[in-house]
Amino acid sequence: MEPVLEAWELCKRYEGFSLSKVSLTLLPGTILGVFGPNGAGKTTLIKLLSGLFPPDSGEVRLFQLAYDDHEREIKDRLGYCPQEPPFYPDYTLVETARFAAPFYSRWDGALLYELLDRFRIPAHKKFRLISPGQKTLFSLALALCHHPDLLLLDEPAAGLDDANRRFLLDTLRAFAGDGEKAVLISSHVSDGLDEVVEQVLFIGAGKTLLAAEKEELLARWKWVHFRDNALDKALTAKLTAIRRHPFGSAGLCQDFPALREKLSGAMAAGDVRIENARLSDVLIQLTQGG
Amino acid sequence: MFITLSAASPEPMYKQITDQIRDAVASREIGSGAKLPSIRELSEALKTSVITVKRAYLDLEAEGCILSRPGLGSFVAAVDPAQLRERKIGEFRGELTRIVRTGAKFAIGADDLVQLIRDIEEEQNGTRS
Amino acid sequence: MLNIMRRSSFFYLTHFMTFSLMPLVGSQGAALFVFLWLPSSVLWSERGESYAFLRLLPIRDRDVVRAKLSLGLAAVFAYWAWLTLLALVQWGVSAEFFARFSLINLLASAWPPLVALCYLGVWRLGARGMTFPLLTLMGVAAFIVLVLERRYFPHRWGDAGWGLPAAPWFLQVLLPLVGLGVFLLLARLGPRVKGDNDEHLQLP
Repeated sequence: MEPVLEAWELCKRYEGFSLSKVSLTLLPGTILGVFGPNGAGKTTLIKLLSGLFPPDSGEVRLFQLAYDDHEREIKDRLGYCPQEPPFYPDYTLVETARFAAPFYSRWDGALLYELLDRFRIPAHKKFRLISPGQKTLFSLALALCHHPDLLLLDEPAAGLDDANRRFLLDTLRAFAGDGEKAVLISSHVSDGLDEVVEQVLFIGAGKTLLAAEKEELLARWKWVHFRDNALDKALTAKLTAIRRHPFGSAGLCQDFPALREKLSGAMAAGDVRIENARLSDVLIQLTQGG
Repeated sequence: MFITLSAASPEPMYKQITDQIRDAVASREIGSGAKLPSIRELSEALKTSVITVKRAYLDLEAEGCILSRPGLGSFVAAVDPAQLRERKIGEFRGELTRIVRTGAKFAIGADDLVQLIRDIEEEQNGTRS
Repeated sequence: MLNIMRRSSFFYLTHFMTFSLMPLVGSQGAALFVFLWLPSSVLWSERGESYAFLRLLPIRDRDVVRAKLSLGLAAVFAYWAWLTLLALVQWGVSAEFFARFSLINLLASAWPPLVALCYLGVWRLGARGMTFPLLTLMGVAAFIVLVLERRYFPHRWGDAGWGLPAAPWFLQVLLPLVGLGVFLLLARLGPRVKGDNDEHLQLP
């Protein structure tokens, strides 16, 4: 299977920030989540992938093509929603759509107006007069309505209400579900988009912290709650982010299958309880843990 | 005492607390007259709200499991262990019903279950000695 | 590409319309005012541009550069043609006409490089970053223009005296050609300047 998106050792330097050597591969049918704290470089990474500007070094290929020679083909097949929708503030949504339409080979105006209807966005309102959530939705509708093969969404959940977020998740699942297209989203873990993600890429301070499959990652990372003195020193040393309190302690274990055997006795005795970790636990441990 | 709260559990938080404290009392892990942690202490340790812990304590008090003395704190009441045991047996009954039904589906009868329980007990004794 | 030009042309059109009335009410030095009108058109149209939006569309940077510079050059041609037409209508084919035509040609040869430089500045610093430098420059230019106008075109309402004799014919041909050549050179720099700088990608 040919990757939809590949990036090798992308570097981009700004004053006070640099993205260094981030690589990733996105296969058809997958949804990749790029997670990281504020200022980690998520937006810079997505801008590089979207071809907004070139990297200082490294290479990006979408659909096996490079921006240098195939910018139009790539962007014709790419749906990109920047964090801040960049449309003309003085154009109405209809005017914006009319402006963008002639550039695309697979423009589907009917789909656009169907989406705007569903989002209940007034199409004849000027872009600057609609709410931030509606701006995000409009950007999403524009990205979807030219039938792209890859979606790049930079914090798409910002400003969305619960129903629209649910719609976004369903849309992304259906989009990637046909097995040929792919999605990359950046997000704060806590905004509920992590449930739709299959691959995760954690970045912090411009560097890759961890790249993994989500289910595999969550099978390995678990919270271990234990009665005091139920675990010996060697076992306790395998846990991180340990919280101690008088009613039992808890620690984050990074490789549960390896510990399961050793913990089974205490688990049967009720002295150890295991709970699933969340992606945010993993991210916080990776960025702040010692 | 060992109390944990699970967000994944279908039981509400206050119920998880009352169940675990009641178990600790029934298993004599905390004897009658022992002082329970203060509501604030427990809520901070479990990272839950004071109101949740308060509700759990009120429920326990209502069923006579603990006593609250204003200004002094909450204490384990002099409850009849037999009564708590009775309650636990009730819970066991519920869990066993599920097991027996599953067993019936796969033609695993009461005799097989009893044999299984004896095996497990033997194993436990083996590991303990 | 046409829709990019159409959107950008709004300020060019309003500027041209106000300008085109100017010689009618009698300012003889209208040709000098083009030095103010062109940067102003570029500045105000670019302040409403959203390059981050254009970068999202399937269009190459060099096509965007071409669209913008074509518009600028079209404006230059419009100003030149309008001034020439007015002079012709007023004077017919006469010595007076050629004196004016010569002056228009000499001044107009500087307009294409001026437009290209304004665009390069916008792509380098962003429209907002260019606002202050350009307004300052235009202020200085306005001062010079008014002084020049007084010096060389003293009779604001009269028909006499453009002050300058007709320039030699080869200068009239050579200088506009040099101007166009510089414009083309700058135009070739356009995609590089635009590609290497991020400031113009800020939202309007």
